[in-house]
Amino acid sequence: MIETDVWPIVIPSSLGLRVLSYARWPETEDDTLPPIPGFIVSSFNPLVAEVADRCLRRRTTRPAANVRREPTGSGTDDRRLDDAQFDDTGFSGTALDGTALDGAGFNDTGFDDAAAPARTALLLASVGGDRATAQAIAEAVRSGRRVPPLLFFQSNPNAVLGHIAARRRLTGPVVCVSPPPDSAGGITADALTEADWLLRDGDADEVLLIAAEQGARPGEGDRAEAVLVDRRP
Amino acid sequence: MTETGGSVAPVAVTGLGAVSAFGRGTRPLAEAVAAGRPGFAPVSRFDVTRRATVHAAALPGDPRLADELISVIEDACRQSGLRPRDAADVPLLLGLHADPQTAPVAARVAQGISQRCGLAGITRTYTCACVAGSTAVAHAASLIGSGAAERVVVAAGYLVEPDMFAVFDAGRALTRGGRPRPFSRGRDGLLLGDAVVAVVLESTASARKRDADVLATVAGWGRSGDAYHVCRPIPDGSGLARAIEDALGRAGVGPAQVGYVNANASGSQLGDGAEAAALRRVFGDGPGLPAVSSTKSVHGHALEASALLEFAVTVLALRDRILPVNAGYLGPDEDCRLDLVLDGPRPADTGYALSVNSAFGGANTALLVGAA
Repeated sequence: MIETDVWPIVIPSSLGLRVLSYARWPETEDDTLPPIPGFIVSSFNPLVAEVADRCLRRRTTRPAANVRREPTGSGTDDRRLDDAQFDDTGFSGTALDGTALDGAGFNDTGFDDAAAPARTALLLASVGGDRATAQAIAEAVRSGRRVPPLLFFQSNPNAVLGHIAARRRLTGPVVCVSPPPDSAGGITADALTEADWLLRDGDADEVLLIAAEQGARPGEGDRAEAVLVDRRP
Repeated sequence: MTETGGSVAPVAVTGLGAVSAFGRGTRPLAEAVAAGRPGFAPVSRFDVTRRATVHAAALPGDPRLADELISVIEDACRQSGLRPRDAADVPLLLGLHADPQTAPVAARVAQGISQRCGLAGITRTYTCACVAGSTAVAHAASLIGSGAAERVVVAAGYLVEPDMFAVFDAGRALTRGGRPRPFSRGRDGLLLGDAVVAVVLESTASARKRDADVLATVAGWGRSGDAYHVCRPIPDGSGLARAIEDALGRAGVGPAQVGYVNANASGSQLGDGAEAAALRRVFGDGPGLPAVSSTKSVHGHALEASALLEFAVTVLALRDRILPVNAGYLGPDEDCRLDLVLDGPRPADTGYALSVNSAFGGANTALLVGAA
């Protein structure tokens, strides 16, 4: 095992990985999660997006093409796509394409149109996934209440990775894995192995690996780590 | 592309197991897609009276996902000739929906396949939505191609259930017309479907040594991201096109050698158009386009199991030399100019077919399947 001098993360020596940057959440007792436009109810997606953003900002060898500007939207705002607006769109079967989301803030990707894309894979490892969204859907179904339409767009973990990829113009593979329950709590050797394979296989030049878990109660115990890796020279 | 930048040795498919709305086993599935006979009916598994859409392609009754996964894995291992005493070091890659049931289902599957198939457990569970199964196949092929594994079992499952049905209904992703119409004029959404699928992949050398029946090969694979939107595909299809080009490049196969594409198209407006744009980027816009069909028009959209189901359908199409029908077609759409298999199954006279998939987050995969 190799414990890097700079980053608080252990990389198995059998893997050919080099750490480019690292971040975690929370980093202080009063750390906060900026909301993401269009995502509602759950802290999971802001958690993933924030730790990813911190990690990418801290890289010291930033690709010149990978320029970022701040998103123009702000705030988790389900009012931007309220029920009436959803019903008024008049689309049929276009929801899967996200055409209903133009008012939801999802277009505030914040990427620089002039920047060339980077072939960075996004790999999300989470045992529990987005528990709060799953619970909100299940409770609405069980109680017979109306299911909030926006929950459709965050019903799987790929969605927030799409948000990150669009902002940063990251064109590598988008992969989510659920590690065994006893490995919850941070970046595991198994997740690093998957990252190593994505690089060895050649579909990406870098991998942004994110491990995220929600706490048992809303807003309590959420935690995440992110590490940006490439192949060791 | 691979590190070597050249072609890789194809990986053999030696076992297939499947459960779909058409029943247990691959034969009912192959017959339904060849005939373009859709499996959609009003849902009776749970209450849909509050939903705007009531149709899905589901098995009768209330099957249990873990039980069905164990069953199809056992079927695939049996067909492959993978005996329990030889299976202890064979990795199993699983595709499941990410929710609080993921870990419990995986645990029950691990216990069952240990007892019935000799597999040591689940190596990794992929939860990346509609590309979960194909991402697992790509990784399996990579493991085998590099020599890190001789055989790998890949399985994925989704059974239509109340929560995803409700949230897809709320998001207006589901057609209210009773059947999806991929690539068609007037398409207005998808319908969900049951699928539980398992495949056994192994090195061609291993298959040859065992004198195993090779159903088809995984000749190449590619994965890419659109970097465009939370859930909307990039309209020019450039992300999916890169995945396809990587799959072809890995195999050393040119576009003209591909005779069939099993498409991702679910019947959505923008998604189908973007996919057609991707295919035209790779294959051109004139004569010579491969035949294309989306068998979601028959078996529905099986979410995390959809890509593995469609990979299995593609393997069966090459094995049976019959290209499945793109059912539900009402007429041409200018955005979807493709050589669609429409009026009936078409004889397959090709050595290569593609199974392509896209998902939320701009995830794309392409699996190049070679005839045995």
